[in-house]
Parts: sequence; C-alpha cells; structure tokens
Amino acid sequence: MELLELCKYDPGRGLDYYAAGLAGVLRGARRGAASTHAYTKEVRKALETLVFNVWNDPWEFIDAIAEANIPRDLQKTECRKCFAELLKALLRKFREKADSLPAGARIRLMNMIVSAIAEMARYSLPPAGDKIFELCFLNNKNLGGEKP
Amino acid sequence: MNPTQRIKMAYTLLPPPLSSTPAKYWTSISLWLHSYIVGSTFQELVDALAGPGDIEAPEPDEAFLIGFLHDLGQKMGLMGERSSEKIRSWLIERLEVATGDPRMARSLVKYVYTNPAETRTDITYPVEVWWLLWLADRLQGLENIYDVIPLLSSIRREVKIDLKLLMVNIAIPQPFLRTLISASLYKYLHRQAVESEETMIPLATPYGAAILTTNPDLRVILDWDQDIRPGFDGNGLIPEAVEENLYWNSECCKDPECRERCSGRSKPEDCKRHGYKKRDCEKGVYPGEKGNSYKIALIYYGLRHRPPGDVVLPGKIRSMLQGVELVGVSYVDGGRVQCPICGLKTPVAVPVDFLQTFYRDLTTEQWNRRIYPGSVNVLMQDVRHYGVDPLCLGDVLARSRLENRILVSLALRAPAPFTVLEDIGYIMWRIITIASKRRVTRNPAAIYEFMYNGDDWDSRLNEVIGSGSTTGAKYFYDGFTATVYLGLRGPYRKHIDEWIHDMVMSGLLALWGFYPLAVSESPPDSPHDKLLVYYKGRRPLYDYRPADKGKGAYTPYVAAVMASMGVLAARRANEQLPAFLEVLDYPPEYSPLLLEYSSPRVYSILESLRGRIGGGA
Repeated sequence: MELLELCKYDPGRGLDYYAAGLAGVLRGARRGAASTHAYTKEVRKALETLVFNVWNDPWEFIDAIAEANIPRDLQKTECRKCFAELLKALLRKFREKADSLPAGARIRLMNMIVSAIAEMARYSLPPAGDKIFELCFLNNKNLGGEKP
Repeated sequence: MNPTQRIKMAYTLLPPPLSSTPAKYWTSISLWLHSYIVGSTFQELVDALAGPGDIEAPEPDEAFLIGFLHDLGQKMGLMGERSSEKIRSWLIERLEVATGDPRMARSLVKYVYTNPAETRTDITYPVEVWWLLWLADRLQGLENIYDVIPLLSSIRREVKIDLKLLMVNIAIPQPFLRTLISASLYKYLHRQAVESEETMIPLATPYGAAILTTNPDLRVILDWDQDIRPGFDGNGLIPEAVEENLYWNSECCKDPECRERCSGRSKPEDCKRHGYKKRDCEKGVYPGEKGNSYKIALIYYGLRHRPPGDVVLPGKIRSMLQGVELVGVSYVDGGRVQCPICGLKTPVAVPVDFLQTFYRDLTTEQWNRRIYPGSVNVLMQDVRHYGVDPLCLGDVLARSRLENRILVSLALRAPAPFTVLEDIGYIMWRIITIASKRRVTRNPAAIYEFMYNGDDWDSRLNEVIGSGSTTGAKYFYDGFTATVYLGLRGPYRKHIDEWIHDMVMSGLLALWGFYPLAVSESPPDSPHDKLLVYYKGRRPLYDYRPADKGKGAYTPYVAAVMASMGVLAARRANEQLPAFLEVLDYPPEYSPLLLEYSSPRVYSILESLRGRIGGGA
C-alpha cells in the first residue's frame, strides 16, 4: 500500500520525482545490464509513443501506453503496479509541462529524461528512488529478506 | 571575532546548497547574504552604540548570530508544519558546531522562532538592542536609502539613540578608480572614528555610500596626495619598475639630444628597454605645456617621482562629487580634447595608445566605455582632438591589477556595510581559487566537495575559507555602487571550454549564495536582478530573477546544474557536437530534471539535504 502511494501521480511532485522513482524500479529489475538502452527501453518506447503518435490528444491513451510498457522481467505484482503508476504519472506530467516547448526541445528533453533515468539507475540513486527500490526489492519475501 | 570565523559560522548554519535559497521577493538576494548582512550590520551597531557600561548588550559573536538567525525559521519553516521539529534539531546541531557551546546553541535557537527583528522585544536584552536589530533588518528592505531617515527618527523617539545619515557619492564614470576611492573613504572614516570616538558605519548602497554616524558635523575630505596617490596598498598605482621607466622617458623628453637619439628608425638599446615612444613624448595635453605624457602620468599617479605640476581635473567632475570634498586638485572647465572612454571634455589628456604602456593586453572591450556606438572612428569623426583623460588613465591602472581579462562582478541591490563587501570579495576569491586549483571543470568529482554532504563538511569549509590571508588576492569592492569585482580567467583556446569554465564557476558562486552575478570583460553599466548576466549571451536557464515568486525556488537546482556542466561535459566527451550545452536552453522550472541528467549525484546530495531538514522528496 505504502509503495503504491509513493508511485502515484500527485500534482506536488515534479518530473524529477517520477524519473527518480522509475530509476529505482529499473535498478532492481535490470541490475547489471550493459547499456542505457537495456535499462530504459520501455520508458523510451512509452515516451516516444506519446511524443510522436498521440501528443495532441493523449489523455485517453496515457494509461494504455503505460500498461503496455511494463517490463516483462519485473515479476512482483506490486512492483509492476508501481512501475505502471510511475510511468503514467511521468507521461502525464511530461505532457502537461512540455506542451509549451517547441517540438525540437520536447524531443531533446525526452532524450534527457531517458538518459537521466539510466544514469540514476546505474550509478547514483536519489533518496526518492532509493525508497521505492527498497520497498520493491529488499523486502521481497521470495528472496528471503526480512520485513522492517 | 575575525571575519573568517564569522564566515565559517555562517556557512556552518546555512551550508551550500541551502545558502542559495532566495530570501526576498522584491530583490534578488540569497538567504545567506541577507542573513549575513543583517548579522554583520547588527554586530556593528551593537558594538558602536550599546558599548560597555551603557546598555547590557550581546557579545559580538552572539550579536552576529542573533542577526544571522532572524529569518531562517520563517524561510525554512515554509516547508510545512510537520518539518519544524526536524529544522529545530538540525539548527541546534549546527549551532553546536558553529559555537562549540551546547548551552549557547540551546539559548540561541529560540530567536529562529521569535524573530526579534520584527517583534522588537525579548527578555534577554533591553529594548534598545532589539530596535538596533530591527534597524539592521529594515535597512535591507529600502528601495531608496533616504527612507532610512524615518527609521532613524523612530529609533531616536523610542530609545533615544541619535543616529544621523550622511550620503557620500563619487559618481565618476571610472568604476575601478571608484574602488580605490571607496577603500580610501573607509580608511578615512576609520581614522576619524578613532580620533573623535564617534560612531561611523559606512554602508554601501547602489546609489552611493551612506554613513550612519552620531557626529552631526561629519565632513568627508579626501586628499589626492594622501588618499589616491598611494594606491590600494601604499605602493602606488603604478608598479615601481614601470614608474622608473616613465621617469627615464620623461627626462628623455626634456632633453633634445636624447629625443633625437631615441626617435630614429633604429633605436638604441636603452630607448627600447624603457619603452620610449616619440608619440607619447609629443601628443600629450596639459594646460600651458605641450607633449610629455610620461610626465603627466607621473604628476597624477607617481609616488616615487613627482614632477612639479598641479593635478587638474575636468570641471564636470565637481558635479559628480556629493557630500565629499577632494583637496589637492584644481578644476578647469571645458577643454579642447574629448576622452573616448568617459566622454568628458578634458584639459589634460594622453594619447589612447599610451595606455598600452601599463596594460599590454588591453582590448577595447575591457574599457568601460560610456560612449556608444562601438566604433570610435564613427564617434570621433567630428572631434578633432581626442585623448584619454587622467581619471580614465587611473582606471586602467587600477583595472590592470586584476590581471584577468574576464571579470566576475556581484552588484548588491540592498545596503550592506563596507566590511561585508570586503568579506564577500574574500569568499568569492577563495571559491574561484580553490575551484581552479582543484580543476573543477576537468575533475568532476571536485564539485561535490563544495556542497554540504555529511560530517566532513566542516573540515572542507575550513579548507575553502582558509586563514583569511589575502596575499595575491584579486578582488576590489566599490562602496559607491555596492559592487564587488574579481578576476575570473584569461582567454581559452576553445570557445566551448570558456562556456564550461564560466558556467561552473558562476554555478559554484551562486550555490554559495552569491548573485546577481555578471561575467564580462568590462563591468555592466547598470545593476540588474538576474541570476547571471553573461557576455556570451542569454540562455533561459540563468536569465531570470531569483526573486521571482514562481521560479525563485528552483535557484539551488539551477546553480547546481550550472556547477555540474563540467561533469556532464566529461561524460559526453565523445559527442561530435557539444550538445550538452542544451541544458541551458530550458527555463529554471526544468532544473531538477536537468540536474538528474547532468549529475545524479549532485541531485541526490541536494535532495537528501532537503529531506533531512523537512520538506524534500
């Protein structure tokens, strides 16, 4: 329950929060992957669909785009839900904020988000992402971890 | 308490990146600077007016801290009710480190919540003390310094402390010569205060220096020979070796045989060595005389050699002096010659190229020209005679001491004591020096050391602030415009490297609470309110007012993005095009995301600090 609260859309949270959250989930799911692409292919796919295909009238598609881009190797149901919520929120916030930007700047910003998520997941997870990472992966009963 | 201790205390309580939080909506000033100025002003007022025997008053350390703390609760408490206990324990911990005294820490922390600068009452000290704190705080909010008069009369009425305001301004268009005169003014006031035992607190404002004094008859008289000729350090404005050359050349000009010898196509060795130029010998202008520019330079600024002759200034200078008398000079109205730098008609002048004798790398951009457009030829087509007037010559001499071609300047929009400008110059100089030594633009790991991140902060702070020694320091302050000037760098081979260097340095300075900044070859003509004005162009990331209600809150992130440009550049070193500069193309609202992109580690440091004292992610 607490995990889902952390992942949900909240107008007070910025783009940076959702990017950090996604990095937290992907750090667990893709530990040790070789490239930026290997970490962030789903996020990139979702953002590209939003930017290139449905930018003008996105609202009915955002949920579907997010649901369709949950990583397959993410096993735990709660984590899958969390990832979907974070992705929905990121898409929504991105659409709200970047609408005033010129198209070129929007695409460059999209690339920056993807690159930032990979960078955080691989090297330096901020506190927000770290919290989600802990709740999602370190308390996993299947892994035999202890409950806090 | 010496200034370095005071500075360390302040950064212990409000470390970067917190120090860059904006303090006000009406003007761009950081919380750190606002708190520091109020603390220092209060300390000076208490020191001068509530001295031993008169009123029970806090010790200097305590006075500074009370002033420094007055706004922190309000500003940091904005993050929400539930965080207030976290802030309290954070502040107590920091106060313990700053003062080294747990009991004092516990007694001081209450001022964060009561804000005696506004309530003007507290049982610890008598009411007079709190009125002085109120004055120190209210001074910061003045649009116009003359608005201090009603404040002073209410203090006179309520607590019988009689302070007067004296405005002193030297509005000459030579910014670096002004820095010299403002340093002389400070020394003059110090001498007067010691002799007369009256209180004199000089405050720098954007529109002149304001002196708070108990002496109603205070007159400011500066002497050219005593206050200007000795230069900043008493060794003269002209370096000794150059002065010897000038003297040799000046004597040579007088001697027809020597002039003949040195004017030929192939000059003898001694003429070359002293830099003799026929032009400088003949093209100078001085009333009643012709020629000798070397002699003119020595008449005005020579310390070891002073040929006979009066220091003559253009008549218009008289109207540029307000509340101050300049003795040892005479004025002549009009003049045949016009100065291409300041635009004044002048009775005394030297050829433009003569300036290169003192400052070989001088470019037109480095002159702070008051005359536009840029082409001197177009401008001067109707003026038959032009030459540089002696004040602009002095300006170039003072400028040449900064050495670097590119300058960084900070122009405060709020009144601050002269001592604070000195401290600001010192810290900025230390940050630039240490950052250059650590090669922050090439060594990305070094920028983490400039931010609060765990327990080793206090030792790192000691390292950055240093011992207070100013040997080799390159900074000036101008009390008549509340501006600090520093040398930043020389030219780089690659344009892109200049961008990275300047962004990283201004980012670090902004993180430590120093803005509005300007990076340029000559200081900007008018003060501004932006985070940074950059001579290479305006980019949305830094081209905004930190006082802006919507954008101001992002200032620590913006500063951190700028400071981590070097990290990003190192990571993106293999890119064909310097695409990483594009982070500058987004407005401050995007800065948290841009920081995640350019340096996730700096983002983590910033977020965990915010999380630690409440609010945050």
